[in-house]
Amino acid sequence: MSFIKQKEFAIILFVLPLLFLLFNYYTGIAEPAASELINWGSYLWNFSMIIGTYSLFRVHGTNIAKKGKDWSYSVVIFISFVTYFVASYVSPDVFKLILDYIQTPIMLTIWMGGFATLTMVFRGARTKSYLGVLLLLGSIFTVLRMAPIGPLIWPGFHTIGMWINDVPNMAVMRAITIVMGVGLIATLVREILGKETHYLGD
Amino acid sequence: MTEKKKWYNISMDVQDSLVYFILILLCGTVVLYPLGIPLNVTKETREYYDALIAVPEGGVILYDEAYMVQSYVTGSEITMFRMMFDLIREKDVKLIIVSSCVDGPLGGAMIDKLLAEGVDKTGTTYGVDYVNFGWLPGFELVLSSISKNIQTVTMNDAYGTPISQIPMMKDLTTADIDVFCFSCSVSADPWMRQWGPLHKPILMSGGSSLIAQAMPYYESRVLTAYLNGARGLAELEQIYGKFTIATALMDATNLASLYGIALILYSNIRYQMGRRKMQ
Amino acid sequence: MNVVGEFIFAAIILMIWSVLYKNNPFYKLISSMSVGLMLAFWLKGGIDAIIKDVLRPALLDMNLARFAVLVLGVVMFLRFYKGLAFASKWPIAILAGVGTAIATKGAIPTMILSQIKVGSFVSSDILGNVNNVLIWIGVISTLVYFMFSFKHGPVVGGISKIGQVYMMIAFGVIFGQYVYGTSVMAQMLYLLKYPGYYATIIAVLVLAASIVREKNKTKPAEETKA
Repeated sequence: MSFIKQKEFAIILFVLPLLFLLFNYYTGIAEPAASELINWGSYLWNFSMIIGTYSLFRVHGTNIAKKGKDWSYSVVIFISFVTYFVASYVSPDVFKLILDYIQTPIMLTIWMGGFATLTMVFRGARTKSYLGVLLLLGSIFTVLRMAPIGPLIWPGFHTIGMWINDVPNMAVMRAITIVMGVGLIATLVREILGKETHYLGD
Repeated sequence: MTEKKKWYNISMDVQDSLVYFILILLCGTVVLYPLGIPLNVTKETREYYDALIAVPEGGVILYDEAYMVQSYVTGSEITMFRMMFDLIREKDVKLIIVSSCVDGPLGGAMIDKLLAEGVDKTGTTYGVDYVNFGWLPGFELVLSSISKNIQTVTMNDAYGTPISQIPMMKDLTTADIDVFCFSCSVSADPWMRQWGPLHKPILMSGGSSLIAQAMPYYESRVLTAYLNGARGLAELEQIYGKFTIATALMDATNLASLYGIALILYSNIRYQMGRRKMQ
Repeated sequence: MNVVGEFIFAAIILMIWSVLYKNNPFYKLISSMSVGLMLAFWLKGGIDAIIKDVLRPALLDMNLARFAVLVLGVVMFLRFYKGLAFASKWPIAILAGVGTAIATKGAIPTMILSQIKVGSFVSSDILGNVNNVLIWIGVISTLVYFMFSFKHGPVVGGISKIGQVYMMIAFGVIFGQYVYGTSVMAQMLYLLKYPGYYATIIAVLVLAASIVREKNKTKPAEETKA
């Protein structure tokens, strides 16, 4: 009984499906079981989402109970959650209205990646060395290659931009992809040997 | 006596706000007064279009809609869907639509909106010519499931009909799928990892920020063709002949791009001038 | 309803953009709402998937495999019970194992083997040959740059310097792609057409009033200083 309480039992439960799926991938044996196991992953993911939701509620619920910092915004979180969740089952029309006119503009705008990029460009895109100059030249040629107006200003922007994309950029991305692939395999070996247990929350 | 502050020596926060305001002004101006800058069709878009229409008669296309909400709002992938439905009518192609969107169930909402508002479905029958699996949770798990066996990806379609009762899914296997298409905004790695080993044509569309990262797959022919972000969708409309908001967005993209370059040059010139002053 | 809805659409965009001026209650309200809405949307999708693919097959169709998933899913909730919390790690371990397997099995053919294929250096296309040579110099020098297990001597250091040059150009390409995507036209379409422009006018007036108020606040402080 005490063994199943130990970390090693969880590691065995991690390694067994992993090895089974790899075995199936390379031999093709037990295909239905492997398909089912992969689907298990999706379903368990949903259960973990419920747990995540509960944890978030606990944090905000405590904030409201103790009237902590910005507790009124925690109330807003609860109200918007309950309204949207109930509407999704009880009133699909209200759900669609909230989706179309509230959630959509929020998701469209809240990222604000364009503005963050501009801040980065305005405050941080300053060169102190030739490497910085290369970076900025690469970015300028890329922008002028991708924007339709670039080739209209000078066709060379497209030609040079494509060359930069197809040769130096491709070379580096290829190297990074190889490194990532090797890193994935190395992490796999470490996890099988039990040296990596981050998935257990350690 | 304090020195009088020069009008251009404003705080960084105000300068940032000015930078954002100018961007908003530029994009707003283009909405009111479109520039109509011509758009040429690049080799990449032509390749994508040719690869899509090369699907054989009676073939099967699988489309994974996993793009960000921008696509939902602008419907910029409407042309893609219109082309695929034309292929259904002209070549008796079957279409499987799914969303593994990492943004969540919004992927399913994107598909519903595109099917409801954007596409002419005359001459096609749901369940016979196309099927919508909706949003499926799990992201790469869904992609892996698709690559293993399309029959076991989900038990029901987006509307609750069991897969076993859908005519076009009868006896269909992953090997029968002729073209895999996906749209995404994050890295292309998960799709390449799961679908690459199938050695079938894979077509990518989505955010322009993932093109550079996907180049090795394109070069090694794991990825067959790609669209160059929003520009690629606009170019596709040039080929297709019907224009939507994707083309209208190009004017603002042009101005915003030039503005970005102007900012880069301005911040560097100002920085170098400041350095010289200190020296 | 459409008119009211589109006005709200524009108002929400403006409330989020108000943070570009400074942090304010409108932005905090919308960002809190976004957390609640996203959570509800995700939870609905997750619960629907559980009902559709786990509960119905397990309880109505007596599918043993799905019943096992249901049991594992319920075991996940044991993390809230001190004595049985150890069991909640089991389904997570299985999920992690499945995820690792599917990520890794595709990595070898597509991320490693496909990437080490060499283009021809001696074909009839001279420019293609030159490009292939340059690509491979870039790949090797970038890989050498990432070798941190030993100290870089003059030769290895020189090669990694070439890798640095390649990498700066490549990062410039990525940076350029982000700069390219800075357009906000999608939002402007809603802000400048009816009824969104009413919200825009109100926002501009509120902003102007806020700026004037800020200026009046700092003016007396400066005059006192002088």
